[in-house]
Amino acid sequence: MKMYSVQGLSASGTGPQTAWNIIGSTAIRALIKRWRLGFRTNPNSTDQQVRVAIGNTTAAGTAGSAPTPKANDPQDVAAVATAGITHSAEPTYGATFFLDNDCNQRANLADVLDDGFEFCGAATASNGVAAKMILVTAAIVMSGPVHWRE
Amino acid sequence: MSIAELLNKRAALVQRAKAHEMVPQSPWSPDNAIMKQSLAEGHTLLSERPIAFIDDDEIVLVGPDAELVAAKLNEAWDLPADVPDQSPQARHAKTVTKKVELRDEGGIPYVRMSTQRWNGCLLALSAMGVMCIVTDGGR
Repeated sequence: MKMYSVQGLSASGTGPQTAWNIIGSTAIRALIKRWRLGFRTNPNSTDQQVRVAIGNTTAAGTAGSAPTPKANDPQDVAAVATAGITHSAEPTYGATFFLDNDCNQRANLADVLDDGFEFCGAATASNGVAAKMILVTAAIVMSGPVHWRE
Repeated sequence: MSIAELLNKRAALVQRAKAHEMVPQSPWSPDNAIMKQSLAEGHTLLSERPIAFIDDDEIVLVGPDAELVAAKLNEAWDLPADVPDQSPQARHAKTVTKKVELRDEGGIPYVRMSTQRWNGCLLALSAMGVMCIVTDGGR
């Protein structure tokens, strides 16, 4: 299996705002192996709790930017899964999440998922896995890398 | 969706993007601090970005987006590969592995390619100054 990454970045707002969405197909599913989420504001004068979630998506929404998935090994072929960041229309998330957690805006959340414990979407067109901030008081941008295998 | 339906969907998305841009508090407004910085770096407004529709494991672009993307990718493909002291942008542009075929359905130009080939083209498009939107479309 090959490993790819993109750098997630949400639009600025008070949520919900998606930082990254990795979109599979009927032929391939992305297995999320590693992720990190942080927050930025300008000016950075607030100190608030941020609710964040990672979950399945059943529709891709509209991503304002389509980043190039970077192969961790430069000799590998291009990724098959597509990535979307900085959404102008949110993806459709499932009713439940892999992770629904809170974090202070001045902290980071991160995890490396063991083999067999990866987050992944259904083998259906436009299905995938995405990360979003659900609710904050002051407008914020959520950012961070995501690595996946396919 | 047919190519004509995708063209209609594209028009609706462009209108929606323009509506976003007209709201001063919107992150897509040209008056937004982050968007201002993005524009200064050479990025384009949301409504000006080509829209790539996901059709399972293929990407489809229609109408003017297809013409723009095909022209830029073919321009990248035509760049010489062996120029010394190439900029990173020029090297990224050479990630295009073959020319893009602009097809036609009912008089509407379109481009269709696998998502894997599309991912290979994204770096070249970025190097050519084209930032794309990606959204559901085909199915």
